[in-house]
Formats: sequence, C-alpha cells, structure tokens
Amino acid sequence: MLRLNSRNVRYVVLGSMLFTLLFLIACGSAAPAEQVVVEKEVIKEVPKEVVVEKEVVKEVEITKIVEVRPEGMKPAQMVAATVAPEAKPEPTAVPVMAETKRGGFITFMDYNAPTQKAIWEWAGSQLKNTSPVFNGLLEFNPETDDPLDIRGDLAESWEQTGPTTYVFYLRKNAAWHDGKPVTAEDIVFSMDGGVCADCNGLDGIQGATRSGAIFTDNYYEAGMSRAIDQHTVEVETLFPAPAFIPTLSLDVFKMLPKHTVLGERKAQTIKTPEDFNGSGPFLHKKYTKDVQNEYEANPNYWKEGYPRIDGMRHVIIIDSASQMAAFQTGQVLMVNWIVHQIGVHDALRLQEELKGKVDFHWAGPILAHGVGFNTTKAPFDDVRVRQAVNLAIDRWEVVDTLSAGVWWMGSPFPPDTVFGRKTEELLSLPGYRYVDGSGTPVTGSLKGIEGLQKDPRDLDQARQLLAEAGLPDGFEVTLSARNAVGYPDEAAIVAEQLKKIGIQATIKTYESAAGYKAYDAGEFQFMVQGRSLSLMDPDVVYAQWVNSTMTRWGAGGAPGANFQHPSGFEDLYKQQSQELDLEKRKAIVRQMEDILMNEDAQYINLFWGARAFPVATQVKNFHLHPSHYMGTKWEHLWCDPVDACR
Amino acid sequence: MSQDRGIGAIALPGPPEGGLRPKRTAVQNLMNFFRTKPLGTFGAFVAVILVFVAVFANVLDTHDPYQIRPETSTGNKVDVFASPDPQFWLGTDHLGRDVYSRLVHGARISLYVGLMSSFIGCTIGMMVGVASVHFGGITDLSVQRVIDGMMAFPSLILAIAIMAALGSSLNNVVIALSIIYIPSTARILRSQALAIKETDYVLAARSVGAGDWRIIIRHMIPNCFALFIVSVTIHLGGAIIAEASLSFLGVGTPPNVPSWGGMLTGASASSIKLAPWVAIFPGLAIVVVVFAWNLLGDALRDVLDPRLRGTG
Amino acid sequence: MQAYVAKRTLLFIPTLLLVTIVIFVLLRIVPGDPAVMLLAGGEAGGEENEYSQEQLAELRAKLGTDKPIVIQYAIWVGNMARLDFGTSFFYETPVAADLKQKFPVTLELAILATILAIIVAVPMGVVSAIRQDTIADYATRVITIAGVAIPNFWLAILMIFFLVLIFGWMPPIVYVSLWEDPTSNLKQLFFPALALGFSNMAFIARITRSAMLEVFREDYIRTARSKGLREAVVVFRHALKNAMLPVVTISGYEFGRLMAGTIIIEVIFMVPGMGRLLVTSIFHRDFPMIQAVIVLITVLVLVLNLVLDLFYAWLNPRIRYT
Repeated sequence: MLRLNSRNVRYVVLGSMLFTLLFLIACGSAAPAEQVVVEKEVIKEVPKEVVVEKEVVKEVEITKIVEVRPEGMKPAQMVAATVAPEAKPEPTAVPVMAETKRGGFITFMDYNAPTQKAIWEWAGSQLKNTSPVFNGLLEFNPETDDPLDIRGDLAESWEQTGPTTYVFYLRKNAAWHDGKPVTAEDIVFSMDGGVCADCNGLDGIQGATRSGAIFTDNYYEAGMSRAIDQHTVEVETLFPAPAFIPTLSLDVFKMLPKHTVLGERKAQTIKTPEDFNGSGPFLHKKYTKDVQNEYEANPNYWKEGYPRIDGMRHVIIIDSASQMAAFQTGQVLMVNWIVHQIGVHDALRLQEELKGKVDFHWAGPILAHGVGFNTTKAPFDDVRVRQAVNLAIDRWEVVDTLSAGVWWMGSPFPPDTVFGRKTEELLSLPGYRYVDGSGTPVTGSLKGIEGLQKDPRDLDQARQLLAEAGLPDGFEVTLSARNAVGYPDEAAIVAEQLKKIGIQATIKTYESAAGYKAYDAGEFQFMVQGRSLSLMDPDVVYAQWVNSTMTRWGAGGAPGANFQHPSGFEDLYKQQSQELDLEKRKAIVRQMEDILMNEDAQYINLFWGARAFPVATQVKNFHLHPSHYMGTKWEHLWCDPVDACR
Repeated sequence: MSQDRGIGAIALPGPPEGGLRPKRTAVQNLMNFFRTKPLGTFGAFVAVILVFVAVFANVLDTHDPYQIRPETSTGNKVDVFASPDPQFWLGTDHLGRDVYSRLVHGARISLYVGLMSSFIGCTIGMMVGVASVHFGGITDLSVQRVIDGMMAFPSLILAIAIMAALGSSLNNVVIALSIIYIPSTARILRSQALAIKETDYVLAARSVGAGDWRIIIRHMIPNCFALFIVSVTIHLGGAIIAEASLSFLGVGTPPNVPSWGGMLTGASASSIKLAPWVAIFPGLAIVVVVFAWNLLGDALRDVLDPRLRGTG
Repeated sequence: MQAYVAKRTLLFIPTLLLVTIVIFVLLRIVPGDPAVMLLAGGEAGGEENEYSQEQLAELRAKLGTDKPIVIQYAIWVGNMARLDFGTSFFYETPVAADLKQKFPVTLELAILATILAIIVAVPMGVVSAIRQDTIADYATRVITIAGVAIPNFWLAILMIFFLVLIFGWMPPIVYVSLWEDPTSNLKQLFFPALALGFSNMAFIARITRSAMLEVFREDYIRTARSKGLREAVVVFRHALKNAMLPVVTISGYEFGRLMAGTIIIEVIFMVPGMGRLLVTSIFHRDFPMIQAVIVLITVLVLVLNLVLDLFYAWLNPRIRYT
C-alpha cells in the first residue's frame, strides 16, 4: 500500500502546484488589469439587451436583413457613377464632424497572411495590408453612405477636358513618408507601371491591372499620361470609357514613389513591409509572420486631422471558429477585408448574439459562384444539355440553404442592380420560375412561401432538351470542385438537384492547387467555380465571359484556348464599354445577358453572394462600401469612447 | 495521425514464447476471453454493433444521407442547422441533411476506411518485414533504410501529399493511409520474423530444401499472424482518426460523402455554437468506436501475443 | 559504443538522401504548379486573378521549375549541403529566416505538451500500477485508452467552444515569444499544448503503468520488500526510479512525433509555428519551404532517436549495442 511520507508528499504537492500554476497562468487569472475592465463592460451590457425578445429573434432578424438590404447593401447603384463621368470640379468636402474623437488603437481581424510578393502587387491578400500605407489618385468616399461618391485622394480635384482626356490637380502638400513631395512625375510613373510589364523598372510585375478582376489596361496604355506641371497630370484613355474613373478610384490603384522604386532598392527587392515608402495615413511598423501587421499613425500626414486613431494592428486568424470566438471575446473590433470563412448562418447567429456590441454590415453582391462547363467534352459539348442543367438548377434552394435567403439568385449580371434585372423580372424567365404549394407561379418574394418548388415547366423543358440531345434517361457525370470557399458544398447541392432530371453527378473535389492543374488540363466535365468582384460595372462583370480563365477552361483549358460565343458577344462587350448613355448601355448589357443565359450557357450563375463585415460599435464613421476594394485605408475611422479601442 | 502510434511503439523486443498451450475449442477460447477480458469484451461488443450498423445502414437510416433539406412532416423543406426533433433525431447539418442518417452511413464509411487501410497497410508491412528478414543481407539493409526514411517522414504530410496527388476520394484515402502504416508494421513484424527465422522448425524446413516462398508463406507468415491481427486492430482506430484529420485539412473524403471525419469539418466545426449537434455527435462516434477498437486490440494482444502482455 | 554511434550516424546519410528524394519527387508529382498558384492567387480569399501564358513561363523560369527535375534536385541538394535552404517561392524571403522564427515556437509547444503529459500521466500510471486490478486501475486504463481515441482537433474545437461559452474567454490571439512576455505566451500555448499532449498523456500513463508492473516483478523489489521497507519507500525510491527509464525514453520518442504533428492544433489555436507554415506552404506549393521543413523535422527525429537509444543503453547496462 502507498503511504505518504514527507518526501513523496512533497512530490505530490509540488507536482500539483506546478500544474495548477500553469493552469492559472493559462486561464488568465493573472490577466492584466485592463482586460478585466473590458470584460466588465461587456457583462454590464448583456442583461438589458438579451432579456427583451429572445424567443422571436431568429425569424425576425433574418427577414429584417432582407428588408435592410437596399439600404444597407447598396448593391451597385454606384455603377451609375460610371456613366456620369462629367467633371467634378470640387472634391467632396470632408464632412465636418464636431464629435470626432482622436486617439485609440483598433485591432482588426485578418483572414490570412499577406503573400509578401513584391509589395507593388495589389492582389487582394496583399491590398488589405498595404492599402493603409498608400494613397490613390481618387477614392470612393469612405465617409458617406452614398456609394456613388468619388472624391480626390492625392488629387485635389479633376476635370474631364474631352471625351477621352482627364486632368488631375494634385494636392500641393502631399508628401511621401520619407518627406519628399508627391509630384506629377510620381503619378505618371505609377499610372504606367500599373499597366505595363516592362516600363519604369517594374520589370515582370504588373501592378493594378489584372488583380481581382480589375482591368485598367482596357482603358489605358503606358505613355498616355503626362505631367503638365509639378502638380497637374493629364491622362488620356483609349476610348471614351464610363468605367475609367471608378476603376481608378479603387484601392488597388495606388500611387508609388518613383524615386524609391527606381532608387537603390528596386521594387522587386522590397518585400518587407517595413520598407514601404508610401504617402498614406499609416506607417507600417512591423510584420510578424503569420501573427500580425502593426501600424502607427503617420505623424506628418498631409490630410489635416487624419488619421483619427493612433495606430492599428491586423491580427491573422485563419480558423473560422477562432475568428468568431475573437469577436465574441472582444479581442478584435472589426475585419480588414471580407471574410469568406464565416458562413452566413454563423454570421447571423453572431450578429444576434453580439447585438449592441458589434454591427454586422453585409457587403454584396460581391461573389459570383456558378457552374462552368467543359464544352469540348461530351455531354456538355451539346448546348441543349447545358441549357437543361441551367433549367434544372434550383437557385433559390442554393440561396436559401447557404444564406437563409440573404443572397441573390444567380443571373449573369447581379440582380437588383442598375444593369441587372430585378429579381421579380427573373422569376418569369425559364430556369428561375417557382410555384407555391397550390401550383400558382410566384411573382414576388420567395421567402417563407409554403410548399415552394421549382415550376414543373422548367423541369419538363429540361427533360425535353435532354431527350432532344439523345439522353432521355439522363446520364452519369463528374462534377468537380476545388476545395475552397464553399465550392464542395455548392457542388453537393447541385448534384442533388440534377437527380431530378436524371443526371447522376459524382462529386470530385480537388485540393485547391491540384484543381487548377486538372482544369488547365481539361480534365473535368463540369465544375463549380466562382470569383469575387471589385466593381459591379459590366466591363468587370462580363470580362469573365470574354477572355478569362473560365473561357479557357470552357474550351478545354489549353493555353490560348477560348470559348467561342455564338453571336457576336465580344462585339457587344466592346460596344457597351464605350457607351456613355446609361439607357443604351443597359440595353446592350441586357442583350448580352440573354445570350449568356440561352444560346451560350457555358457558365451559369448559381448565386450572387454577400459577406458579413462585422464592426464593433465603438468604431465610428464606418460606412459600408459596395465592394471590399474600396475604403481600406482606414484613415477615417475613429473611436468613441476612445479607450474602448485598444 | 499524429495520434496513431500503432503497435510499433509499444512492442519492445523480447524472446518469443514458443508456448505449448492446451488445445481449446473456439467456444471455450471465446468464453475464456469474455471472462478474463471484460474491457476487451466491451470493445468487441461495440465493434459488433459498428459492423451491424455499417451493414444495415440502409435499413437504420431515416432519410437519404445525401438529400439536401428533405421535407418535414408539414411539407416544407427542413431548415439548415435544425435542432434534434422526432423526425430528425440528431438535427440537420449546414446543408439541411439529416445528421442521424449521415452518422449511420458514416459508420459504413469509417469502418471501410479503417479496416481497408489498416488491413492493406499491415499486410504489405508484414510482407515487407518478413521478406526482408528472410532474404537478409543487402536486401534487409536497404529495406531497413527505406523504412527508416518513411518513419522519419512526418506521416500526416505524407498523407496530405499523397491525397493531393491522387485527389479526394474514399479509395484514395485508403491508399494514402495504407502507405503510412507500412513502415511501422514492417518494423515490428521484422523483429518477430527475426526471432522466428532462428527457430527449429524454420531451420528444419530449410534443411529439407524448402524454397524461399514456401518458408515465408508456410512458416514465417503464420507465426507472425497473431501480431498481424493485433496490428490491424490497433491501426484501425488510428485510421479512423487519420481520415478525420485529413478531411479536416480538406484533403480527405469528398465533403458530401458522409464520413465521420468529413462531418466534423468545415462548416460543422465553425458552427459548433450555432448547432453543437453537428460537430459533437460524429466526434463522439469516433471516440467511442476508436476507444472500443483499442480495448479490443489490447485484449487481443494479451491473448494472442503474451510476450506483449502488461503493456496495456 | 563509439563504433555504434559512428555506424548509426553514417546510416543517417542514406536515410536522409531517401527522404530528400521522396519529398522532392512527391512535390513534383503532386499536381499543382507553384507559378500558377502565385499568379492565380485564389485561395481562401476567393480572389482569382487572370494571368497570361507569357507571365506563367516567365515566372517558371524565375522560380527554376522549368528545369529538368534531376537538375533541380542536384541544385537543391547542393545548396542544402552548403546549408543554403533557398528562397521561398511564395514569400520570396529566405527559408532559413522563417525556420529560425517558427522552429522555436513549435519546439516550445511540443515541450509544453510533453511536460503537461508527464505531470498528469506519471502519477496516474503509478497509482494504477500500485493498485492493480482495482477501480482506480480500471479507470486509469479506460481513460488512457479513451485519451488515444479522441481526435486532437476535435478536442481543440471543443476547448475553444467551452472556454468561450463558459468563461467568455479565449487564449490571446496575438502570439508573443516566451522571452518577451512569459505570461501571455503561456496563456496562449497552454490549451494548444493540452490538446496536443492529451493523447501523449494517455500513452505515457500506460507506459508508466506497465513499466511499474514490470519493475515490481524484479528481484530487488522483492528483496526490498522482504527487508521490511515501507511500501512508499519501495515504490518511490526503488520502483519508480527504475520504471522511469522507459517512460523518459518513450516520452522522448513521442516528442519527435509531436514536433511533426502540431499542424492542426497550430491552425486552430493561431500558433505561428512550423506546422502551420508547412501546411500553408503545401497549399501554396512553396517547394523550397516544404522541403526545408521536412528535412529539418527528419534530421531532428533521427538525431533524437539516436540520442534516446544511447541514453537508454547508457542507463540500462543490460543493453549492449554492437
């Protein structure tokens, strides 16, 4: 038998003390005092919020979001701005805010580590960390709810002097972080560097041209801008382009210091963010790999009164459960980019739970997911079979399942936007028709309708098309999906839906990189694939169908392959790109949409999605931008109370 | 995978017991097992239930495990993340699929992955180990180096790489896991085979001119069989966990296939607060089944291979 | 002994060469082109960029992936022999710098996990052995077997869930090194270490138990008992001391496994260690980074095993290596 003597008692006691100590340390009983204060505040607020209407919340909340959508999400009315390029002689006045407070430190949640390729490459995962250090020529005004409002950033004002000519007047006090002034030379240099692979020493690196589906080089070629004097730049476009100014205003198009890029340290060698020499509101202090990016306010920032906060950090959290937990425990205050990992259902639940502490904005429509076909392989080389799939897919079920009805059914152009169809209009088109329990076609909202199902006419038509194509009994097929941003789940839903017309789809998922390889080799029959967009302009949205990875995959994936549209689609694309009259442009866009839906059906949209953009209530002056490529400098944010941001 | 130690880690080499035991009938053996090994009996019991569920999954399920949002009794489509109720016993997942039915079908898949990969891996491992001993010399030496290399290689990484190369499918998971079980089985069975090689009956067989393969197949493999069975049983639990780990990293079975690992991953893991049942039940199923197999494996090891007794 | 060490060390060379070949070839068999991953970019963020074939060819040339595989391998091994680990494809930073940053993190996590495991496991194993075939013994055995049966990532998810649910608390999200801020560092690493070490704990408890049982059968224990020494003295001064030998060595081997097995835990708990580096590098097809990490882990495991073998032999005179 074990009897305790003084010696082994000591072991036991020591051991358990050590363990307890470790546990206590870890559990934070020795947490710094300030954290405790935050916790207290949080707890204090809970009772008055929760008691009121706990039972009703779920249903009510979801409907509310849909109602809020037109106001909160402001789909792409902003595109109107693209057709109104008339000169704006005065920049929008910075709104006077008497109540603006200064100071505070904001912790952002960042969904992945920046790539640290050469810093001038503005792909999405790069931009979220570099944007605060640089300025654009123009910007979408982040301080207003008006999504159409474009204001000067480095440019104080600008005017259009001809159909293809713009003059930008620069701010005279703007300076780089090293103290040198921002000059017209820098602007010309950056404009060219952005579209030209070999110009200006930025060899092999294209800047803002083709990241995140932004196509600046559609409108502009190197050499088309010139410095009139030190603070005036004249820029010409290739053709009268309604989308030029909005494209230029996206955060991807940042201005670079010529003397740094061409100086001793060539652009390609500058990869550590500490070396950023921008003009922006923040100085990049430190990047700890896979942990965080730290910034402090630029003390010499040339915009008076900006930035309002003292500093910020972007903390990298990649696991979605931990991402949500970080908001629950108040360890992060907002996100610095849309976060794909948090699903809509979780976001809605979190929104309910954190009501009063964190506001959830819904950014969208910014994601387009759909089904792409390999038109070189049977059975999808037959357009009738593709159309049958288009008819058989139950888009509302996809939207309702994945997003509790928050998203939009997928049509080529995002519905309920300036150029897109209204959802009600869609509901009368084949493939989008629904009937209620009594068999009556649904014309209004699809939410909460008893016994809602796809119009049998759509399914019958789909079966008939299959029969015409010689496949009356359906067929077996493989549906591919890369294991990223929800594709496999979407594939699972589509596969189930296609069973109704006799198509038995086996799902094949690929690890992301392996998926590209398979698609490039044409080793797929059809796939679920999507993208997120920066600007809801037809130039951007339809680029996917003109000459893109998707059209290459559609034609079998080989380099240089390109899916051939049947009826002059490319010409229409060029035509609308130069059409300054909004109504005429709309008509062309509609015509293109019809082609995509019917004759073409190489890529059919499942849904247009939105993502949650949570921002803690103590962070003020946040206005949701129509896309995550806007307003990411964060110079306009401030905190109230200031010490609630740490 | 990082958790699957297998038998290699615990089997310290020792003299084989050429034991002469009184012959018993199978029933007597079984009764003896039940009497002396209550934990093992429990393990066997759970294992039998698992097999039963796997075989009769089609009968036991209440819904099609693949069906997105089946209709409720009121005729509407069921919600996603619906909580458990009389119709959906364990609730529904992020796509509105019935968790209970997926769990039942998942038993089939987990058993398939576990059994196939541990069986194939251990079989190849056994052949490699035994053959390497039998041929000895340079063959043995080079096989040993290969095994060293494979053992030193992080197994999860090897499996991820193999899965990325082959693509996500059930059989590819089996292949990937089989490969990572080869080296440890080969090593432990090699030490067993080394001992057997020197036994009288092998020497005798050799002296009467028996060929290589005859000795391997007729003498060495049967004498390694106890250890083989134990290896398979113990790796089986590990394989179920390994499949879950691979699925968690997005390179396991295709996400629509109702494997327990797959059910634990992605949306269900992140939505644990919204719908705990989606992540908790498959996790529990894994724990219970692996636990039971390990109990069974332990007991079998004690019975079949007494020289390892006491390590559990 | 010296001859044995020399022989074992020499045997490292073929093993290491084999590992380098396997990882090198494997990475190039696995579909997925690093150049495409760099240009297309679409990972978790879903931003998928357009690129031209010329850009692709240019980038391949820059990365050196357009050369024949044998030449690529020769270049790599040559550089490795000079301890030049190369430059990351994806981050374009020296691989060595990253390893220097990440290795200590994973090392600390693995050490902490081992310490936690031993602190709990050894008393459990001892009690279980002393009270063999009692309830305590059965309970320990059940717990230890169950411990191995819990997938560690599931345990990690449950931990975060319950911590947030019950305490409204989660480990700090910003990693700081042990030297900068020990409290915050331990706060962050305690739970990942617990999740990671849990199955080890179970395993070490089993080893402790069986080692104790083995030792109890030894003559000197019988002698000690027959001398009338108190049971506690027998257990602690004689038995435990001797039973610790396999426990320590097994914990050492397990430590090697932990170093290679932290991947999922690091992802869930935001620990910026080697495992996370490795898994993102795999998804990015960052060849130099993956290769370097694998070689590093392999060397670590090989050396650790050799040291433990020697340690075991040194402490246990009955074992002689030739």
